[in-house]
Amino acid sequence: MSARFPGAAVVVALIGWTAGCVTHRPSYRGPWIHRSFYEEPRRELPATVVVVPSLAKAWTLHEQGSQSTYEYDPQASVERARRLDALLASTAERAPMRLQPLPDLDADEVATLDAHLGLFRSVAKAAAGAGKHYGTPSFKLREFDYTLGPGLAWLRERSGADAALCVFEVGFDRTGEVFFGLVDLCSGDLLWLEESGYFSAEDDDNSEARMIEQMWNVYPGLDAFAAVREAS
Amino acid sequence: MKSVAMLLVLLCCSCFSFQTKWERVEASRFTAPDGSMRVELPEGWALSGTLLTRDGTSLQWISFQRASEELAKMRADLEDELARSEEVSNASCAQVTIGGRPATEIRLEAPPRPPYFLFDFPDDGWFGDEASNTYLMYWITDGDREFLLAYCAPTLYYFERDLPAFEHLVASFEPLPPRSPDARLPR
Repeated sequence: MSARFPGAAVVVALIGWTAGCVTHRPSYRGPWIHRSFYEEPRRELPATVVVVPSLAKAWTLHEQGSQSTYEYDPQASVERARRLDALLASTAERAPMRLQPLPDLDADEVATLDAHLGLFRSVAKAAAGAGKHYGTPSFKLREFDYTLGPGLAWLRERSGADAALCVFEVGFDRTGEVFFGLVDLCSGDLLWLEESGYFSAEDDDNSEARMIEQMWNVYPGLDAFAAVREAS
Repeated sequence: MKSVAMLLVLLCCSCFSFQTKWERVEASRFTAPDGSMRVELPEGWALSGTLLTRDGTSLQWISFQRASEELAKMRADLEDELARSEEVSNASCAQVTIGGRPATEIRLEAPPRPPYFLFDFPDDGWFGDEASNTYLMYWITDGDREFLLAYCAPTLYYFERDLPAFEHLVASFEPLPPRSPDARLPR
């Protein structure tokens, strides 16, 4: 049974708008970069990144007469995640680092990875609050030190990669909000986080591809974020 | 009948105010705004009223407050629900002492939940893949007053990492004498 969610976008927009009214300050939209890139000894950008399966949650619009509702759509969620994975794979040569696929994992490793992707979702939500003047303290822009902990260190051994690219998307019909995060596989530190949104017109199937390309275009954005954190 | 998930949502609502203006904790010794208690706060965290977080409330929070009648009733409801609920795991309820005062300790693990009783939120799919949180709560009795010290963080990594900050706050808890008869119960 699918759950109905009328006016979800309105609720989300209202929360964001009200938070803005409360603070009277503009909202920062990313990217967010770990403080260790700005403090001595400065960390280096990861050279090799393993791409872990994307996580997506999709709601589909259903119109019934004058009423429209969003319904959680498990199948659309799976399809969105697969589409993101395929796009990341197909655009890998344009990424500013070497992207590699996930090695074959056993059941225990898959469970551990899934648990950390769940944690990534929680961490990314808090981390992307930095600069939005709501549930996250503003000094986290300057002191951006989010982490997943060391529980994925084994994946470094298994993949040989420095970091993992974690992705989750929340989508309503033809819109999507996507979080891309680079996670250091030794420490679990969230090195880099980007929040992107897109809207697909009826005749446009390339909006997600453009979003990914735009993400790599702004990566890593060290100077731009330096200015933001200095001003915070 | 209230479910544990709804009780946790109510607990979160009672701890949070919508307008969150954070101040960094510099001095650790702190008297609650209503003058009901004194505690030591974890330095470097952020404080808003009687709510603390290190990284943001969606990642971890500590709340310390004089428990209203509704919150005191929530403790009883939670104790009842924990005895039969299938929504939580690793749940425990015990009678302990905090600074020589009787207290109820409730610890449980539950998935994060949206306030679906406020909106027609979906109860499947929305938070299904998010990391479970562990809640640790102390309801402390001091005469006819009750205090709630509560901590919540993702079970994976964060709960244990930030637990010492909460334990230090609990160990430092010191109820202050009521200032006037009007101050006996929070509004």
